[in-house]
Amino acid sequence: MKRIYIAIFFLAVSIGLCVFEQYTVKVTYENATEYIDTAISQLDSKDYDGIEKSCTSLSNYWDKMYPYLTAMSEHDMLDEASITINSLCDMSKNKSDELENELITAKNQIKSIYDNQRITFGNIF
Amino acid sequence: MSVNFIRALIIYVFVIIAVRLMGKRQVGELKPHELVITILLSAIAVIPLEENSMPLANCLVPIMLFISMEILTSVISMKSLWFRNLLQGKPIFIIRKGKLDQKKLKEMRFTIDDVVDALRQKDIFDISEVEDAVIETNGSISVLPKAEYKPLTPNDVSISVKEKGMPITIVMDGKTVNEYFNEYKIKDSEIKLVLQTVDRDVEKIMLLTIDDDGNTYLINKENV
Repeated sequence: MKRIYIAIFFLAVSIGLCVFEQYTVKVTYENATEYIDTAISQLDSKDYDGIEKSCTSLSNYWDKMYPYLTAMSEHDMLDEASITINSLCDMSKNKSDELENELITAKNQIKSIYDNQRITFGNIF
Repeated sequence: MSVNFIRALIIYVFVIIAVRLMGKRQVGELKPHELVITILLSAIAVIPLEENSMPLANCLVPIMLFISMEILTSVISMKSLWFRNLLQGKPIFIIRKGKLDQKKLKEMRFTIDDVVDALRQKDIFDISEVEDAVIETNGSISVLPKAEYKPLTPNDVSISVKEKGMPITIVMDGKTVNEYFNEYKIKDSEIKLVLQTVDRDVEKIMLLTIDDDGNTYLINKENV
């Protein structure tokens, strides 16, 4: 009987981790994308203070979520996104011309992580 | 390197727990699904050790899932004969009443060499001595020799014999053993009493056993 309880516990932990992973990745993707979209729209309206604020918020948010994501996603992809996101702060301070491209790259990298973790037919098979 | 060390340690502990939870079976006694789980476990455990960029959870979650499924399917197997047959298959006669079933052999993809080989491992060198032979669900062959070739037992010649019982280990490798088979406790006073009968220091004894009749068997330690 003890083993059945352990089996049920393991099963519950496994399913719980999977649910947590799906939730965390989705929420991180949505929030991070929102920060990036805000920064892009601020860039169009030349609001450089707003861009810097958005990039700092994105960087802080990413740093907060990073430990959870590393426990569930491939580290290589996360590291690439981290480098891009962290460079955004400096680029926004310097008002770099490459900022828009870098913002789009960061968005794509985060989307790629999200797409890679989602439960889809393609990912399963 | 240090990350690998810690990851290896975690995986080692986890795999040992997993194997212990699966129960005590030797490799040769594994049912097909148990063998598959064992192979999968070892394969999954290796991946995060080779690939540092992979999260450990990607290895631990499948292991937890396999173990839970293994335990749950074994519980269902105990309750349902249909499920047990589905999961493990059924034992199949290849020799029935002394006759070799060639059709079954072909179905099982067993050659006559395999059968003769398996019989030899059961100390039967002449196939004509076999009454029944069964391929068990784990792939091993069980054999029932014909009555005239069976070893003679006391029952066959109507001799009454006394049960000897299994000897209990009292001292092993210079140390007293306070319990056996994790079930029965042996009192210190009982151990002392047995030691008095053999008149030896515990440290100088390699093995000391006692049976139901109080007969002791002693192997002294040698200075090797």
